[in-house]
Amino acid sequence: MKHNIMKGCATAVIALASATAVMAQNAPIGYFLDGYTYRFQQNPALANSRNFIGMPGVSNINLGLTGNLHPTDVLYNVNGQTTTFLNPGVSAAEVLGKLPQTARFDVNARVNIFAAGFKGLGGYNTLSISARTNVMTTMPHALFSLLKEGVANKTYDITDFGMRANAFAEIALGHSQQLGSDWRFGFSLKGLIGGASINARFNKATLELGADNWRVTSNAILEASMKDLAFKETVNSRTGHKYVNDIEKINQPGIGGYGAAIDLGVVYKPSAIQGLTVSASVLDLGAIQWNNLLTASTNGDKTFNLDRYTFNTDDNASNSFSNEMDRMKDDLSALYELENMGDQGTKIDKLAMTANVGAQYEMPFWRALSLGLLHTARIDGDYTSNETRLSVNLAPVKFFSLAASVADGTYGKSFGGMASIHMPGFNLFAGMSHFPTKLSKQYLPLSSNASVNVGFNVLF
Amino acid sequence: MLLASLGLFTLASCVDENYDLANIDKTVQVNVDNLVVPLKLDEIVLKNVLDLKDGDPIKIVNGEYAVVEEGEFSSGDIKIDPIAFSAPSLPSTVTTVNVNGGGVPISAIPVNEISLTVKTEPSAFKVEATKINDAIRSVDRLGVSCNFAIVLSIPELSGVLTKYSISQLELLMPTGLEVLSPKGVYDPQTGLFTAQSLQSNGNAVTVPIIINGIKSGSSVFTFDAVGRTACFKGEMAVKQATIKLAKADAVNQSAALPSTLTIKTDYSMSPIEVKDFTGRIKYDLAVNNMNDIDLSGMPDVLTQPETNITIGNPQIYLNITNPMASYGLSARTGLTITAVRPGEAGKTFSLDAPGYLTIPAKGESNFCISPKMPPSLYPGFDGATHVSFSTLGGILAGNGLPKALNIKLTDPSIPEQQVTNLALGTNIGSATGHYTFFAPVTIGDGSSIVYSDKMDGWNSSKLNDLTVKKVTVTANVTTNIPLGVSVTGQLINKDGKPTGGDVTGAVIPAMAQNAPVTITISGPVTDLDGISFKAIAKGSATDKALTPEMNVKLSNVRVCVDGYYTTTL
Repeated sequence: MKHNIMKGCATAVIALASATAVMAQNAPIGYFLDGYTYRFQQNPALANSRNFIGMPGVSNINLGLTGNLHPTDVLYNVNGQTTTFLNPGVSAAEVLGKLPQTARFDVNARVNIFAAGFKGLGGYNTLSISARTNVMTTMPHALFSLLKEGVANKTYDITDFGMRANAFAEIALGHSQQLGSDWRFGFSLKGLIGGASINARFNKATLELGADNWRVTSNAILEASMKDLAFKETVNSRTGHKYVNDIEKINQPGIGGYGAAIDLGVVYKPSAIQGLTVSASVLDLGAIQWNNLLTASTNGDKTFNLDRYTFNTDDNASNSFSNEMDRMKDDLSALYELENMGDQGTKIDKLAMTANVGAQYEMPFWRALSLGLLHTARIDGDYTSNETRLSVNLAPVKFFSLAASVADGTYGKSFGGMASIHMPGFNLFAGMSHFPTKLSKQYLPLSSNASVNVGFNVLF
Repeated sequence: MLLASLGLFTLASCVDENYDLANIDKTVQVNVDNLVVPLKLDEIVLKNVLDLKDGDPIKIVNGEYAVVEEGEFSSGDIKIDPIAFSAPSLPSTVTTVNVNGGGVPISAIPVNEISLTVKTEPSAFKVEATKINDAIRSVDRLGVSCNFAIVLSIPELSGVLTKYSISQLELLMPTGLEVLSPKGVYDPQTGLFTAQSLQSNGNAVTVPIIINGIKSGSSVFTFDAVGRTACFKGEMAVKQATIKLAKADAVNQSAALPSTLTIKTDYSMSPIEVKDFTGRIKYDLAVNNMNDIDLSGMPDVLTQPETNITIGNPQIYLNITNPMASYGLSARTGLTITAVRPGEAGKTFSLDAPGYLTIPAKGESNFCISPKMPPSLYPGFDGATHVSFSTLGGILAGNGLPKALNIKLTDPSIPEQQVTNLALGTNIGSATGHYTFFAPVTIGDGSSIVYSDKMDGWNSSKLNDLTVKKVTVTANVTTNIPLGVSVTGQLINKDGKPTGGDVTGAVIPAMAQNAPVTITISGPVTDLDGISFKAIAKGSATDKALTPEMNVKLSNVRVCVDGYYTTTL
């Protein structure tokens, strides 16, 4: 049953991801990179020097993995062979010492289907249509402790175990305007069309394995918004409890909701300090109202207490071992059997807001070389993260620039790099905000922080 | 774009040969780290452990467990063969007398009546009976049926006188007889039968005598208890008689009266049928064997070879009907009970001295045979007389329980005693009765119930992956069962061999009150397939029988498990 729900959720998430394609919503490595056409998506006050039009579908592709749970946290080498962290040859101290209190693993994608920018209206204007997808998961340290250290008489709180995914299309109109000699402001107005949203989480999930009693509490909820999505139900033949065991396939994609958001940005380039640029932006200030909000939940706290069961050695007793074990199974099943709470109507989800604060300084001895410091905070409840990045930017010629950076933040340390070729009629950029420093033999990244940003545009 | 992406990945990264995702060792181990599982158990009630079925030897009587077996018995019919004497044969005698005045016509005789005094020579007889039943130890009297007749005839008077009479007849007979006769009186002391007046029929006078009894103690009747023979002998004679001839009875007055008369004496005696006897009797009863008490259906927990049980106060109840009660005779019987074990000589237990019980001379009698008088008697045996059988408690003792118990009534008999008028040759009846073997399951001090068993077949691919380092079970035990129990064991692997250490420490004292108990299973245990264990229950000094409601209460049960589960995904 639970397996079916997870499979259904996974199917929906994959469908969402496939429908859009990318994410790493933006490329922080490109924030200070001269000639990177899509800086306006990180700060609407950052305008391009040329007009552009993006090649449909490939104008700006951001694919990103972020997380503090890396493959190297769960994969080890023991006696020359790759194995999992559950291998007895890997010590619990080694595994648990590496894992964060809350392990997170996110997949983000953003694909610009259409984008264009041009000067006008006294400033610089942009128009973009993007598809955005976010898949975010969290896993508590206690879960790994339970698996690796072994079951012991402790309290395990796995409330942080959850997953959220959404996909939506974004139509953005942006404008930036120079105010005075030092200041430039910009904004972007966004209309959002929701595709699908799934949120599965525990409001409460604890295992209190005391020496005198075992108590398990769960309060789980699954919310899904997608047109023509429906829960399938079945009945527990023993308890008569009706519960959700699957999600109906999507017959036809449709609009799951609408929303709006705004990006605001400012750039301060003081005349008094030549070469210094300070900027800040707030992105995705807005929300989506999801319709057709299907909800399944445990309908409040469900509790399992071991001391409720008294075993009798008499096979014919109502509380014989066999009968009591069946009762236990029944009560345990209530912990994870989600009731169909029906269509709860609508739900407004705030977008994950991103705040950027940056400062760039051009080296006086060589203006083509600059240093940039960017702090990014992504504010999204349980999935909030932040990062501080130091970039070295080099624009030795007018048509070519490149950047390298190191970063530290919620997801650990990383470094990245990016290059851009930009000349009239042509703009190609490629970069990685997070290099996967190590790859498996199959060239798969061994870090959860890896992102790719490529794009091809026409400048004019 | 994809190529560009892959290019970036590979250019910016290095391949770590330690991570070969195509060849992952999927061995996983999940530990259980001294995990304490708190459990609540209902009291363990004895009736759920001893799962009795219909037909089992153990039953519930008055709320207590007891071995109960019932049956019936009977003796053969009691009948003493009659003593048979053939008809005695006595020779006839002839005596002549002279008639004073004879030889002249009767009318010429000057007196109206002539008296003649006569006596005869004795006539002896002797009859014997053989093969007299052993039950008859001595005889005081025989009740008989015998017809005896003496005929005195005078042939010469035929056609002369129509009749004559005899008076003052004294017939000498054996002494000690019981005689009935309409003609006279018999004196058993002297043996004289006296008749005052007898009238002839024609020329003969018949004296009928019925003999109803023969008393012993004289030379007439003797009984040889050793040779099993009896002899009845004696003499018959007319000691004295007066024959009176009357002129008026003459056929012809002119006829002459003979001057000499011949008096012939004939004896006629029928066979002597002995109907009863009075004397001393001893009769051995033949009692059918009682059915064995089959113990093969005892619960498994009680049937193993090392079990050695002394039961508290087992009881054998007897109800016996004494068929000789109407003769005032008591009976007696011994009783043995034998524990039958295949391949061993039976171990037999007998009643305490004198080794028998006496069945009084009344219709039905109840007996309770046991080491001591129980506080209450088994239903149906009210008023039972207690018979001591002090060793009966050990009837189950030995190497394992007996397969059966064999109860026998030994040497049942009517002991030698005086009887009066005991009918011979008739069926007096038989000794009948029923019995109940009732043994409350009271496990005596020093007894031990040993139960070994093996539970296996647990092995499975999943269980193979389990390694138990240690399991400790702790609990507090309260019980009203008067048995102390200790359990030891050994975990076994799929090859049937021991794995890990012993199961130790499970000791529950008798009548424990909140006693702490710890069971430890030491490891490492791998390839677990089952457990072999031995439970030893020791009896205690109590006479409390086990009851179905006796129980063991386990509180604060904590199972502490330390181990790990290793498998390959």
